[in-house]
Amino acid sequence: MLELIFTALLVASFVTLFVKNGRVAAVISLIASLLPVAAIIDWGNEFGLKIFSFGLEKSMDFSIAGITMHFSVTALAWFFGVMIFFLIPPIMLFSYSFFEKNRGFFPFMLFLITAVFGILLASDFLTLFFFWELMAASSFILVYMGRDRKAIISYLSFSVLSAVLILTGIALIYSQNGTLLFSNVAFSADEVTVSAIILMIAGFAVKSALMPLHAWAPFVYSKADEPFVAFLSGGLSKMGYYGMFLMLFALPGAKILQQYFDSTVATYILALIGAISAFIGTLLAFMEDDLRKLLAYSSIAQLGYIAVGFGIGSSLAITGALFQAFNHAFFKSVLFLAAGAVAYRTGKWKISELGGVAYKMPFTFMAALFSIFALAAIPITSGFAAKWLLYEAAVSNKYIFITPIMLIASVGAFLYSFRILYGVFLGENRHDDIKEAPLPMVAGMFLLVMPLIIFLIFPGYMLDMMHSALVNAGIGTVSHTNYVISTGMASYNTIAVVVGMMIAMIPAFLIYVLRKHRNIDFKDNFLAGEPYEIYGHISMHAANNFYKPIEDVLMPYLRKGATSFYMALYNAMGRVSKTVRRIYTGLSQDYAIYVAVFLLIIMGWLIW
Amino acid sequence: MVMHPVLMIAIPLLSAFIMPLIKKAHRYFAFSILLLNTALSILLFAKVYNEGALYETIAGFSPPVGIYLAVDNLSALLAFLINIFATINFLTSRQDFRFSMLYLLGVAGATGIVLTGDIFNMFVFFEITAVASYALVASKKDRKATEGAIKYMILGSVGSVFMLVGIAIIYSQLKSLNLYDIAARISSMDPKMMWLSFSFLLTGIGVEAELFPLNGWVPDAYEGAESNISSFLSFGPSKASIYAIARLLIIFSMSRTYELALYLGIVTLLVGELAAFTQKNTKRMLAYSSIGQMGLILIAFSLMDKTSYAIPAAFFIIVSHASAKSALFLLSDKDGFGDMSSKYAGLAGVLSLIGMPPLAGFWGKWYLLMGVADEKIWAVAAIIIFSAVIEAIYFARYLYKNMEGKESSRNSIPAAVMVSISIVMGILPILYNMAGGVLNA
Repeated sequence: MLELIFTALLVASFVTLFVKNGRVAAVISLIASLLPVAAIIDWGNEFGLKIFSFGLEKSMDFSIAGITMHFSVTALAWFFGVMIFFLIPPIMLFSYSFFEKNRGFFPFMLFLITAVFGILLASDFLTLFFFWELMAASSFILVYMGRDRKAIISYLSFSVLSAVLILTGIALIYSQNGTLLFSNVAFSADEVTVSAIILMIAGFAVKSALMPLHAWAPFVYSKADEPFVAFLSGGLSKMGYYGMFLMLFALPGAKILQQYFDSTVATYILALIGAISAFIGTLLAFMEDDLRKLLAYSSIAQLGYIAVGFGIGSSLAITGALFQAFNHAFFKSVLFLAAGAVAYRTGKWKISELGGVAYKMPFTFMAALFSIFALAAIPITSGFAAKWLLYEAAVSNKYIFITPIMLIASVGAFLYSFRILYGVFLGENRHDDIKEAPLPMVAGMFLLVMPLIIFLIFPGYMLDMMHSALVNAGIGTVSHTNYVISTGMASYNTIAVVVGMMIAMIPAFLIYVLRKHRNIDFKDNFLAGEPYEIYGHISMHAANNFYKPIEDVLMPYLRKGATSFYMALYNAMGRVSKTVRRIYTGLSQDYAIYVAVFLLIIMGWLIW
Repeated sequence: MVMHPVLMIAIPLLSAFIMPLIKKAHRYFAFSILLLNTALSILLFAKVYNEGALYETIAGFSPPVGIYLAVDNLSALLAFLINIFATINFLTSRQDFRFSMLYLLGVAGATGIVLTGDIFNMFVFFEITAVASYALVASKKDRKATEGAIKYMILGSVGSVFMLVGIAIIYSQLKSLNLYDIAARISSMDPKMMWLSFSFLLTGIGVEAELFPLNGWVPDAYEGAESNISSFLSFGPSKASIYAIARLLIIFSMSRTYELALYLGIVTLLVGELAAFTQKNTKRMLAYSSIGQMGLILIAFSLMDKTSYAIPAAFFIIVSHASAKSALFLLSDKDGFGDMSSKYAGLAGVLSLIGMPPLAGFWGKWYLLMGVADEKIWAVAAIIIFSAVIEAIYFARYLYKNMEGKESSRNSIPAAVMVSISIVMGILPILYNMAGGVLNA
């Protein structure tokens, strides 16, 4: 049965390659993308999501003369599968309207899904790496279709970097253990294993866009097709964290690191990197004018929180991290899709050129609004629960440096979310001639918003889903009922929170309904900053230059960031390359001299 | 079944000289000869695979007069690769009968190099391939082609003289030209003489195998030649000669020679990749990149004595490079991927070269790093990682540059077929065992 799913996905991928019509290809892809979802639902019977069962096997060995690939589904893989595969059918639904013609999105997206399915099911390193590379290859082709030079170069080079780091790690583990099966690998606290773990985590961090390995993300997120970017940010970035979880907790790498360094320094560094990613990503996000780049930096920031959770490593922190990963998968997909829907209607990406879209596209606005609530962790969505767990974990572990950074980053998230809401959807109505996004797009976005609301009210369900993954990894779980999460510090009752939130909102709603409305000018000083003398007449409202003063203070420092470091490296390599090419003078006499000198040198080296 | 490996050398060699007589049908004739040769190579491979390595003496004459052949799994596979790529590549031929003649000569020579078990015959086959290649490069009638051919010829003849000197030293000492015989008795040689002959042989073969710093001719010859000839150079002579170097390493099986080969491979890799990094001219970029890949193959071969991953690694890099790089050279006659098949060939080729599944390059990378990690040579691992990233950057740039194409390359379909071989090799792990290495990790 399991091989049938793989085959069906590959066949669908192959078929859609030859379908010119985007609608037909979308329908085929939508049906095909339901297969992994069905598999996940079936396996759910064992791991805590009981809906229905058709008796799909849980493991499979697939061998073609000589090589055996081992597949089996674990609780961890299942949880990530829920997170990732439930994203895809709505995205395909969205793509139904988004792509008039099939330009290659559908076949390679299906190929990508096959690869992700393979990664999650892999139970040995060869299979994991094989499918990891398939994922890199197919996602690269999707990036390639975006036709942007920087995106293509940065994505391919970082993918290859990630691949070789992971491969070196795998090779080291193999040389220590003599086996590639996860179940047989036994880590010991020696140099080789520790360096293997660190190499592999660095490799996985590339995919999850952790600083300073994030440099590809802003280019790729802002230039590829939106449905793909939604999946890239929502789904694929989680694969990096899947790998990290696998290395740190499932194969207990975190314990080995702790033993080897005799302290938690290694995981503390991971948490710190995560917090810094969250902080700097947020800063860069709220100064960005391109909506897609803003979302890209926001992704980097939100993904940073997951690394913080993994770095802290307590059961509370990891629960919060996985919860955050789950939420991020959904809310960031919706936001990218909403950006895609807005651009589909208006053709614009710049926040300063957009405005008032919500009056014409109310449903898109609603979906984006809920996702922003989740992003900013406002307790109308499940985003709150995740962040709350993370903060509590950080506080209870006395991470006095990381906690404030996270909190500042979280406040920063309000600053840029506000710009998306006001700059794109509200504010001055600049688009009278547009209409609401097509029904499939809206439906896709609303399907993706659903989990955010469900898990707000029932965070216990989420904790149930990750229960066996955590228990298998020996982490321990957070005690909870369906509505109440109780930790050592306090307990969090979602019903109380939701009711409290409602009550707090009633006066605001009443004021909104009862008071007389007046339209204020777009540049009313109610929302516009006070321009300094030196700027002349630059308007600083929410959509444009709103954070100019902060930008002026911070930009000189941020400009020295990772991206410019890579650019400097790139230019330096270019200079080295030009120097090296001087060796090839183009004169045959020089070359003949090289031959003679070479002969003498090796002769001398060998004889003496 | 009468299957004699010498047929694979003799048939193209003899039919090459018939070409001038059948001017009109030369293309069909040459193509059928190549096809026949490919079929023979499959049979040969089946035979070697089933019955073990094959040693044949031709017509009862003992060496050095007769031809002595020694075929093992790897050389049979390489002979197959050279012939099948030669067949596909020939589809792009639009030149006259002289091209067909030289091309068959080149193929015969390259096949001979991998099949021969006699060092003097090897030299002769080197000369055949080399002479044919010089003429092929020069056959495009413009200044650049002539320049490339002259440089190639100057360095090639210096190399072959050195090679001959190396052979003469061995013969004077051991009175033998048989590779196995030499390998068995090499330790009885005067060590100074032994190193002397090794240096001469390595330098001589290294010119053809594009090792740094013997590869001055590479960028000019590849750039100047017609695109299907650059393609031929990258799967034919260069692959045969890197295999000859591997044989040389086995003969002089000393830790010092392996060490030397490792350093040489590293330097070649770094120089090639770095030189390609900023190269704007597509064909020169591909040529420098070839140099880098040859270095990678040499690194793989230099680990032969230490780890069983070395040979599969080298084999898969050879497959990947021979198919993908040749395909990219075929496409380089036009700027940009104009049609679907050239887009496919370009993308799949690049993905194979940077080692992504399901292409052969993936397994090359996998086995190579497995081998390196097995030996815990950290510096080499770091260099491979570094060069892989450099390679990814310039190939990404190459892909970007070629994204839009108005007219499609005339060679796009043969190129696509060539790349498909890399895919077939990548997804049929049955071939791993055949390459003679450890497969199931």
